[in-house]
Amino acid sequence: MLFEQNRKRIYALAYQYTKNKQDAEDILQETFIKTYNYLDKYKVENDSNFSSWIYRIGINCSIDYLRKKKNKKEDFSDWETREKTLPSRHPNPEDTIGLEQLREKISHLVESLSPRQRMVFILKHYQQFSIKEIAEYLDCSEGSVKKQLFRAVSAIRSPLKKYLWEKDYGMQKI
Amino acid sequence: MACKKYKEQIVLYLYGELGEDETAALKDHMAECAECADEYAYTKKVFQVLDETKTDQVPEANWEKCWNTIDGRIQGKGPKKKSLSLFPGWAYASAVLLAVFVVGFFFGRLAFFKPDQKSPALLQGSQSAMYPSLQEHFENLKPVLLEYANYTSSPENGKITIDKSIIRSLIIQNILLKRMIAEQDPSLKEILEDVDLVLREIANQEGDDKEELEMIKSLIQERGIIYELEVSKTI
Repeated sequence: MLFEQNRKRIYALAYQYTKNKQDAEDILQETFIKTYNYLDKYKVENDSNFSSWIYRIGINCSIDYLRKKKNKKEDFSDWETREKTLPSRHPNPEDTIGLEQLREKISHLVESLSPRQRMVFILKHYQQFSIKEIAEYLDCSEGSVKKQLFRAVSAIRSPLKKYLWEKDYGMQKI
Repeated sequence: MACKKYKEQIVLYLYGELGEDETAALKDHMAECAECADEYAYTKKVFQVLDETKTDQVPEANWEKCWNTIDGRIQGKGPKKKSLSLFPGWAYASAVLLAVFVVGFFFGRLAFFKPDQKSPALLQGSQSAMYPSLQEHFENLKPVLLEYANYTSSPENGKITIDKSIIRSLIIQNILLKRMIAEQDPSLKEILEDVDLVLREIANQEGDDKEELEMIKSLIQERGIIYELEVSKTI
């Protein structure tokens, strides 16, 4: 059923974007409220189908949500879930990094991206949309998406150098 | 300067978003530039690590809580109508979801509707594409309305059993179509308003209260709803 697919897709995206169940639920609610309120603005002539339209609302709700959250004074009401995502205060004495720590590190790097960069990165890297599709969802040019994507990847890869370069990763060339 | 451009292209190349010519130029450049070749190897490694550390697990949402919140906000925003209190809270949350579904279905039908399949007379005018959904709605309404219109209180025919969830779905669909058609076709809007009234009475009706059943029957007959639906099909 169409709405079943949509609610799951949007919730999954919102969760991947915020890494927080409560935030993802809030975004889902906001998306459905906006969809309901904007029903009369949906244009039949629009090329995008209804699923794309609601997904776009979900994407924009996610970005807005994060922007508002970042502008607010930080609160600690999510301390229960927050604890799990904090970086380890006691790194391994040998300064090696396990997969779980690496996952945490990457998660923090993704969180440090601007709301829009984060969305571009998630849509491209995890949701595997094309740059053209992302540009349509975000209502911007493909060039803008490419720039945002490059900046996002750069912001993630540079801090990881310390962990990846030191290890024995075979650097293959084309 | 050239390296900066190629470093950007490395990311696009790894995402499969670089054109053939650009890919060839990038490869030529990396064959001569150790810095960019290292950049490529390292970025590729980062992508691999990103994939390895990816988690697909998404915790199950508390759907009921979500719909309750949607329900509360929809009711809070909308005009307060007495009639809205006819249903429990979950009905409104379902309404939002169903509305979203119905609209999706509605526009889906528009996309696949072939003009020569149904009443050519309906295809004139800019709003003609809206009618397939209305036609279907009327077809869904008909058996329910006929059931009540033909009600007799005789012992062998004194009971009407209709799943209330069907009635609620019809109400929601009716509300949505009414909202969409209001400006384009006031006469159809009036019909849908009458339908709304009857459906709400049916939704409220409990057990086999003969008086209530008679009242619904006369409401359908007095307003000529079944006739109106039939006539509207041929317009």
